[in-house]
Amino acid sequence: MSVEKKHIVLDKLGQRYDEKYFVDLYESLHPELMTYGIKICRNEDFVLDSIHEVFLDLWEKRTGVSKIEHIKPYILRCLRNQLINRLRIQNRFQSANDTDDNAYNVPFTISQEEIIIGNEEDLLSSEKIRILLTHLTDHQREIVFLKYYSGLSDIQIADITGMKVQSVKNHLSKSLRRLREIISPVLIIAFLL
Amino acid sequence: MADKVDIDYFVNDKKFLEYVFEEKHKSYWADFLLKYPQRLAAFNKAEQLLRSIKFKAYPTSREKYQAYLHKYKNSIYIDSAYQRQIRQPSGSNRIWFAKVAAVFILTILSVGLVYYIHLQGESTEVIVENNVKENQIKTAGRKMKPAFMLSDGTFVRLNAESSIEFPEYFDSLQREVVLKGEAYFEVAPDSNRPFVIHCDEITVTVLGTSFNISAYKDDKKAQVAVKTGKVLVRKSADQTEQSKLLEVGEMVSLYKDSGKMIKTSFDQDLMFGWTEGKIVFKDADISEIVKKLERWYDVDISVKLSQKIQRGYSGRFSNVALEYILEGIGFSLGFQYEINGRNVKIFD
Repeated sequence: MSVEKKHIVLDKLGQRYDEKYFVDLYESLHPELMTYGIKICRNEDFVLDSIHEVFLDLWEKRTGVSKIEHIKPYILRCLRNQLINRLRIQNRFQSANDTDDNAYNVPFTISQEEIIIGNEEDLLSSEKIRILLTHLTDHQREIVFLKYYSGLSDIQIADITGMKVQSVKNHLSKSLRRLREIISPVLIIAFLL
Repeated sequence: MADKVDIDYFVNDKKFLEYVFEEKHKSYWADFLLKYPQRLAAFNKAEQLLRSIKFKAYPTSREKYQAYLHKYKNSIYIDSAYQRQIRQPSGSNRIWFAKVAAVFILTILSVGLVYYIHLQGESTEVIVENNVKENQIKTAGRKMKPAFMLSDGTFVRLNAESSIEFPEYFDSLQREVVLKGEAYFEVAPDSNRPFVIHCDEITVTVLGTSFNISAYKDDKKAQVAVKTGKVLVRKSADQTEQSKLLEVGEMVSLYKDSGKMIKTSFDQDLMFGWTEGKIVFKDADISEIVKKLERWYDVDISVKLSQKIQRGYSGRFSNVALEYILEGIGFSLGFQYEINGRNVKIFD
C-alpha cells in the first residue's frame, strides 16, 4: 500500500508558531484527519467539529508546540481522544468494561468503496484484498490504516491507540495472517471454476 | 503474461506479505528469484498489486470545510488581538479603556457608544459605532490591518484607513456590505445569496471566494483584483451599465476622472502583499509612495522638491522600519529625508 499525502516538515529552528503556521497546519492536515476520524464516527459534522476543537486547543497550547517532535501523530492522538470522549459522553458506544483500555472499544470501519486498488484489471485479486480488509477487527483495521495511510511507525501507532508496541506488532502480523486465511478458500473456489 | 494463480501464490504467502508491508525476508526472496527466474513476472505483479492498495481520502463537503476554516482563522486572529491587548504596558494614557476593550473583543456590544481601543503593535485597533439602522461599522485607522469574520463566515481583513459597514445578520436574498478604503475578502460560499460590496465608485458582486478591493476616496482609481473565484464589477453610479466579469488573476481599474474601467492582469505581491505585511511599490510616483507610507506607518509626510521626479519607483519591503524604506527609495529617486517622531520631511 502506498501513502499519498504530504507531510508537514517541521522546521525546528526558526519556525514561527504564529497564526499562519496553525492555519497552514489546519489546511494541510485536515483531509487526512477527516479520513481518519470518519472511520471512528460516521458523522461528518461531528468529526469536523472535533477537528476544530483539537486545533483550538492546539492554538491555546502553542507555546508548547515547539517541543513536539512529530506534530502529525500528536494531532491524530488528540483527535482520537476528542472523538472517544465526546462519543462516550453521548453514550454512542458501549464499552464492555469502562475501565478497559480505550483501544479495544474504538470502532473503526472501512467500507469497500474507500479502498482503491491501483491495478483494476486484476479484479479477482483486487476483490479479495478489499473483502479481507473488511474482515479484520476494528483494531486491526485502525493499525493497518495508521501504518499505510498515515505512514506512522509502530511506536507512534502504539502511542496514539494507547497500546503496547508489542501488541501493535502482533496485531499487524495477525492481520496479515488473516489476509492469507481469507484468500485461500476463495482461491480454491476460483481454481475449481 | 503472469497468470492469476501465480500472482495469488505470492499474495497468499505470509513471507511475501511481510516482505511487501514490513520489508522483511528480502534475502529470502532474492534467493527465491535466483532459483526460479520464470516467476519474476508474477512476483513483480503481486508486489505491485499489494503496493497499489490505497485508502481513498474522505470527500469532505467543501462548504462545510470552508466555513470551519474561516471560523478557525477568525478565532485565532481575534484571540491574538486580545492577547496583545492584555499585555499593554501601564504607561499608556489610553489604558483606561483596556477593561472595556477586553469585553468588546469577546462580545459585540450593541449600545450606541463609541469605544476607542488603543492597542500596541500592529493591526488591532478597532472603532465600533452602531447607527440607527443597527448596522455595524468596523474602522481601521492608520497602521492597522484588523481581520475578522462576518456572520456568514466571510473573512475580512481591512487595510489601514478603511471601514466596512455590515449588518449583524444578513438578509435572506443578498449579503450586502459597504466598503470605504481597502479590504481583502474571503467570501463564504452561499449559492442562495450573492455577496455584494458597495463602494463609492464601484459595486462588486461576488460569485467566488477571495479577492482584494481598493477603493480609497483620495486615490485616483478604484481596483478589484481576484485571487480565487469570480466577481462581477460595475460602476456604482450607473445601474444599467453592464458588469465586467473578473476571474482568477484578473483585475479591473476604474479611473475616476475618465470614468473608464480597464481590465488587466496584476502583480500578486502588489495587490495582496499587504495582507502578509509586505509593502509593495510598482512604478509608483511620489504621491502614491507618500500616501502608502502615511497609512502604513501612521506618519505625516511633507514633500518639498525643487524638481518633479519623473521616474516611478518599484520595490518591495517586508516588515522593515520606515527609515529603511526612505533610505532605499531616497537613494533611487534622489531625495533626502528627515524623521521627527510622526513628522517626516522629504526634500532634495
